[in-house]
Amino acid sequence: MNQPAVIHSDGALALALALVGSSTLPTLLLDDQLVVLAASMSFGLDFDVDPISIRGTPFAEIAKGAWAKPQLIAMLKVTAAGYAEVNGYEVSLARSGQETRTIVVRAQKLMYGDGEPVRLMLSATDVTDARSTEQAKDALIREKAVLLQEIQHRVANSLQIIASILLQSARKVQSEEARGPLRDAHNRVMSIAEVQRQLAVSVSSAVPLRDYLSHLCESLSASMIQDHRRLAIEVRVDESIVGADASVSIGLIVTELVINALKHAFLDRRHGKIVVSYQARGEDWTLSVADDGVGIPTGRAAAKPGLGTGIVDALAKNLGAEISVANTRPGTMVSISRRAAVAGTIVKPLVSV
Amino acid sequence: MMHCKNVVLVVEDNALVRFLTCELFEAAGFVALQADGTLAAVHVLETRDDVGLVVSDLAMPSHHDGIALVELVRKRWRPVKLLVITGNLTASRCELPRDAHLFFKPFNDHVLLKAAEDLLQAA
Repeated sequence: MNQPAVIHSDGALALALALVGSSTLPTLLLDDQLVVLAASMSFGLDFDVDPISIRGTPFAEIAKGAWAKPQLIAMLKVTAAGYAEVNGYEVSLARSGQETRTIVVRAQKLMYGDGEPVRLMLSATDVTDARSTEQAKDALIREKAVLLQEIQHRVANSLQIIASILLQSARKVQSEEARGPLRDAHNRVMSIAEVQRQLAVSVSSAVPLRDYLSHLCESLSASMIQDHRRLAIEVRVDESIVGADASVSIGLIVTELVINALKHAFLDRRHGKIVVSYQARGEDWTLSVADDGVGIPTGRAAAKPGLGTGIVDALAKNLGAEISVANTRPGTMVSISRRAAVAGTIVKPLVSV
Repeated sequence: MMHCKNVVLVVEDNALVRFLTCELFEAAGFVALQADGTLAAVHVLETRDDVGLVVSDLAMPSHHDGIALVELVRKRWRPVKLLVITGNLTASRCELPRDAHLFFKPFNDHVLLKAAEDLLQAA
C-alpha cells in the first residue's frame, strides 16, 4: 500500500536546499572549499545578505571578508576534512557601517552517504543583545551590592550618632536620677544595633541567639559593671536561630531585665551573678534572667512600674509569651515562656454572646 | 620621638561622628585631635610628634582610603598605636595589620576607651 516515497536525486537536492532555506536558525550549507551552496532566509535577514545571490560565494568573502577569521576558517577546513566540529565558536563580526556583533558559530560535516560530496552545515547565532542584557544585569547586581553597603554604613553611622548623643547627654546631666534613663536608653539602642550587626554577617536574615546574647551581655557588662570580679553575667543559650523581629524583642527584654537586676539585686554590694538563659523545644521556648541577689522584698508586686516593665510586658505579649517571676532564694528569676498550645488559646477570638 | 601618653587623633569623615567621638575621648581625659580624612591625618602626624594613638574610620570615603591610612601609619609612624572603627559590618580583620584593634559601629564606649587606654599604656 503505502511505500516510502522515493525522492529522486534532483528532488533530494531541492529538498535539502529548501530545508536549509527555511531554517529558522541562520544557516549556511558549504562545500569542501567553504563555498556557500545555500543560505537560509534567516541568515539573509540577520546578516543583511541576499540568500539567493550569496550562492557560489566563498564563506571568507561574505560581507567583504567580515567572516574571514583565520582561526574560524582553519577550524572549518578541519571540520570539512571530517576531523572535528565547530561547537559554539565566538566571533566578533565587524562590518563597515554597522556596530560590531557577537556571533556564535557552529558547524559540522554532514554524514549522508559514502562517496557523496563534502557538505558542511554552519549556523550563526547573534548573541549580542543577550550578552549585553547579561552584562547589564551583572552591573545592576554589583550596583545594588554597593548601594546595600552604603546603606549599611549609613545605618551604622546613625546608630553611632544616636548612641553617642545619649551618652554625651548622660555625661552632661547633673543628677544621677536624670542620668540613669539616658544610660538605659543608650543600652537599648546598643541592643538593637547588635541585632543589625548579627543580621549583616548572617547568611539568612536570622540571628543566632547564642552569639547575639553573648555579645549583648558583654556590652552590658562593660557599660554597667564597675568591678568584674564582683559581678558577672553568664549566658546559657542553645543553638536556636531566630528571626530579626523576635531577636530585637528578646534582646530588649534581656537588656531591661539585666539592667533591673543590676539596679536592684545587688544593693549590699556582695558578689553576684546574673544568668541569662534561652532554651527552645519545637515551637516552645523559655527565656530567663536570674540573679542570686537580694530577692524580691515581700509584699511587692512582680516589678516596679516604670518604663522598664512596660517594655517587657509589651514585648512578651508581642512574642505571644507569658511572664513569671519566682523568688529563687537567693535571688530572683524572671521567665518569659512561650508555649505554642497556650499561645494559641490567647489569640483565639472572643465569642460574642 | 616622645609620645605623650594621652594624645589621640580621631580620623573620621562624618563630621558629627567625629565630633562625638572626640567628645568621648576628651571627657575621659584624653587630648583629642581631629582629622576629616587621610590627608588631614597625615598633616597632623607630620606636624606633631606627640600623637600616641590613631583612631580611624575605615571607609573614608571608600574602604581603601582607610586601609591606606592604616598601612601608612604603620610604615611611617611605627610607635603610634592603631584603633580602627568601621561601619562596614562585614569587614574582615585580615586586611589590617595584626596589632590594630577593630571595632564595629556603633561601638561600646567603655570597651573602646578601655582598649585605647590599654594600647597607650603598653610600651
